[in-house]
Amino acid sequence: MEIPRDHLVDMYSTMVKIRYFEERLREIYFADKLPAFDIGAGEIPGEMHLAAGQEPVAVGTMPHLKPGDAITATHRPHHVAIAQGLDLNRMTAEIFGKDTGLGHGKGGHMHLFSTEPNFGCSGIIAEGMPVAVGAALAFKKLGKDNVAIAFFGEGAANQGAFHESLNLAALWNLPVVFVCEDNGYAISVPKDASTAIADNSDRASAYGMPGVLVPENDPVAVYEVAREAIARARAGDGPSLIEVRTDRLWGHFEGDADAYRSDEFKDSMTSRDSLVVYGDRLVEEGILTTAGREKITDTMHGEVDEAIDFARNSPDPAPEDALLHVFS
Amino acid sequence: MSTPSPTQDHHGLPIVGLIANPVASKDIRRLVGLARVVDVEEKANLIARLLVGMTAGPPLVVLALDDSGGMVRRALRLTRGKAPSLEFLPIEADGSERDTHDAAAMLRARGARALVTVGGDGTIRSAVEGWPDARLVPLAAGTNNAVAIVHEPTMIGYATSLAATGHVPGDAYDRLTSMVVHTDDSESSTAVVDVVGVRTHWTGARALWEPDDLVEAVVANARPEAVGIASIAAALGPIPPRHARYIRFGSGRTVRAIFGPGLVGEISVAEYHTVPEGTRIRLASATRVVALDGERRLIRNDDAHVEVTPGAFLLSVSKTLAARSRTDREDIPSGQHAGDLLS
Amino acid sequence: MTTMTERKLTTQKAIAEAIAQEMERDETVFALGEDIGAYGGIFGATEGLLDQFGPERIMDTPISETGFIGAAIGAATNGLRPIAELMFVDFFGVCMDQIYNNMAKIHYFSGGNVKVPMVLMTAAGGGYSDAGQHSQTLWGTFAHLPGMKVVVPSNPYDAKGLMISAIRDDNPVLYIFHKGVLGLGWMANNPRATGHVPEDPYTVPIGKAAVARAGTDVTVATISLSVHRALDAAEQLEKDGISAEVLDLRSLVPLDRDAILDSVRKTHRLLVVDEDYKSFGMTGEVITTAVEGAFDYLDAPPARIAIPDVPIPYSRVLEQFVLPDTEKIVAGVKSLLTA
Repeated sequence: MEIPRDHLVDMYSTMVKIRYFEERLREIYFADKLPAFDIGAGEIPGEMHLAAGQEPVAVGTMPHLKPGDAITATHRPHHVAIAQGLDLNRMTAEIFGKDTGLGHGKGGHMHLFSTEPNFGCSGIIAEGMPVAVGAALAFKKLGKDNVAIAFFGEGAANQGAFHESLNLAALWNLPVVFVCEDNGYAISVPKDASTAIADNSDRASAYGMPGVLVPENDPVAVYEVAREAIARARAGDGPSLIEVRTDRLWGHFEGDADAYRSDEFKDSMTSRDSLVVYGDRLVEEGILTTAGREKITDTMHGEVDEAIDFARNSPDPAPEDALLHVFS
Repeated sequence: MSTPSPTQDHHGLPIVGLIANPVASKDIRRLVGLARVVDVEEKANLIARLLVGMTAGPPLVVLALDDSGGMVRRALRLTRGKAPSLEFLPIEADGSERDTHDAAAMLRARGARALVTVGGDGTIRSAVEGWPDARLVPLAAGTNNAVAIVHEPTMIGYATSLAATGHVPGDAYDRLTSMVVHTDDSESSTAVVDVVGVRTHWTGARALWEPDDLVEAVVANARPEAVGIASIAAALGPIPPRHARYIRFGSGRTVRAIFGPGLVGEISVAEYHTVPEGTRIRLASATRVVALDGERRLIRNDDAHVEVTPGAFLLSVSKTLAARSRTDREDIPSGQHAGDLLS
Repeated sequence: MTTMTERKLTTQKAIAEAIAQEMERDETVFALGEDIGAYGGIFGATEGLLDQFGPERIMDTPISETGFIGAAIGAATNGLRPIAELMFVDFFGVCMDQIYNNMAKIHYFSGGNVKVPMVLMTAAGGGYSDAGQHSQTLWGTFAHLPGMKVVVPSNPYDAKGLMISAIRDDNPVLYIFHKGVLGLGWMANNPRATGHVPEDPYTVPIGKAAVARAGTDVTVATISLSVHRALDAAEQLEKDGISAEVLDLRSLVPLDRDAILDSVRKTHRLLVVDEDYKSFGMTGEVITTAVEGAFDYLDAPPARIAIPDVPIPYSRVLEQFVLPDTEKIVAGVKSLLTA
């Protein structure tokens, strides 16, 4: 099946947007915390978990979504949120803690919530997996042909909620797709020190669903597999698990010295950076011209810069607003 | 044909190479068809049975790829000492097919008498690329397994130990036909089952499962019972040894095709002919991507062509084991060794 | 001659009736939990509902609390109104993240944009030797954490009304029912577990306490089964000429602080009774409310009766020693009056 040119190009543009977004956040995050790193200082305080390198998993999944499809994501959510099409201004404002943010500044970067598109993320490992199961349950009960997608990391696959979620999804034959972003490290702990088996996609059969391994950090490979998995779920054939070997280019959080990964390993990730590899392929295949590629870069950078300006120019919430929104 | 000299043997013992692929049979065919799950634990179990089987014959040493899934290590633990001596090749595996290719080339240089692969046809392919005329013992653990051997691994291990130590009849190996694909990037790639020209532009999720995308195929070594593109070629009539079949898809004769496990369909064949080894076939211009042994691999360029050549050697387990009854049993000392790692 | 026949139901039947009526009225309401189907819930909260509504709306789950409570959250944020049953409140340990970190916080984190209209109902309480992991009440722990309402009915009328309110509330509501107030045939007989329950649906407001018995000499503020004990104590005390007001808090979140202050301003003496652990809990909260808002009205330091910070023991004589009971309340009141 040929992949529509639009999808191929959109995936690339979104990857460009995500990468630049993460780069700009990184820059701003550090700028006013130095010289002595004070995690609570600056325009973007607190922890920051950036997804540079993991773009293919997000962009490869999204072209198959329709309005109303639900996504739950992790503490490293930006690539998924941007790929799903969250309002970039409001998302950025939330990360900056502003009143115009998605949560009026109450959630921050790990707790971004949106109703359209239908997105939530969590700072607790695997916490979103049962929620995706529940969304799928609602879709099935309400007779909708929507699907739910739960993103999680390879570290989360050892948390109880992973196992309970897969069992429930298969038991009730729910339209949910579980997407494991295997970047090889749960903070500093490599997969072979955390997981008794080699591939989490193999765990799927233990829970009564198919599991597929995508061994390359390639948006087209993810696209093809996600297409089948999502179509399957939408058709009422139940859940599946997709495991993608991806790369977390930077540390677990910003400020992480990342000393537990060798320079060699980090260089190898850079040399296979999918943003570069995929972009080059598009040009080689004649799907993009070099000029077209530059134009995408300019446009995407512009959107991100605009969102950051929007956030910076937005007001802080009033302090006493902290008391609002506990209950509706 | 490489005839290893005695000085290349390891500690005086014949060498058997072992390459296990952790990535085989986990692909999209588990979603679109009924491809089985051969997970890493199961493969480790197969390897363990193979290693134990090897101790039934004369002593040998195994040189293995230390695969990125840790399967060989798991297998050794499972054998609890009932395995031949085993050493790991100095290759840092990253799970890519490069591992298989490099390991095969290294085993050839080390004079291995036989090369056991654990995986599917794609695994065999990478091994043959690294060692074009290898003595192959491909243990089936992939999705399609058109060439790989589907027998109890313990028996395969036993047969391997007999073959590697010279206790085989002359016709123990069947010679395969290889298809070498040349793109004008000058590097060549080898296929052992089929070369398929695909009309889409992307290698993507690699596996091939959509009949509408197929432009043409060159198929060799096709047994009628093999699943996949080979089944299409075989359905058109027997393919004589030392030959391959070229097929161009398009409107014409409709053929029943079993594309993969649980994937039954049909496809139209516009034309086909049988070609002997030595033939070069230019790929059609409609072919954009070339799939080798069921996986999209190569972006074709203008001068892409396929060369049908003599290939590697495939061990016949049944002939080898049948021959052992004709041998004086006292000549074959039992080969039980502690599974210690020498490296 | 009777003018109107009172319709008597046990608390357990009142809860099941509330759920049934809401499920009839609103097809987005459904229930999930362990053994809620054919069994009708271990404590009967869903008795008869499987037959009435079928397995699609009364769903038995595997033993996967994190999984199905998290799924209830996902269903609630996507158009349904689930009632999830946690079989025993003591089991919250295996799924607390979904409860306090997820269910209770989504509305806040989303700045009010995402609602979680779900009920988490659960059985609590001891007194029948079910030992330390099946006898706790634990409402203090949940009430302490922001983002979820906590209601604890003591009688059949409130049980039905609060369940209907909980289901209709767009917020997450933790509905805790003490096994001893249910009127179950296999537990000790409790006359106060049966009472008048109107057939038509009605609501009892969440966040409002009720004066279960008016009095003038002392306020006994309490909740759940201890309300029954307090009422029994008040009857005894009346014979000794002491008029005790029993304040049934009914909700812990929101807590009806005004009701506490009104009562204390009237009686000038406060005894708080709680079947949860003493330290860092409900009794401390109610007393502090009184001290903060009605200090000048107090004629004696407030007193409290609660479980004395020990795991609940198994042996009957030990368990009875730690649980609040009528005698302890009578003694506590008398002691307050001589303080």
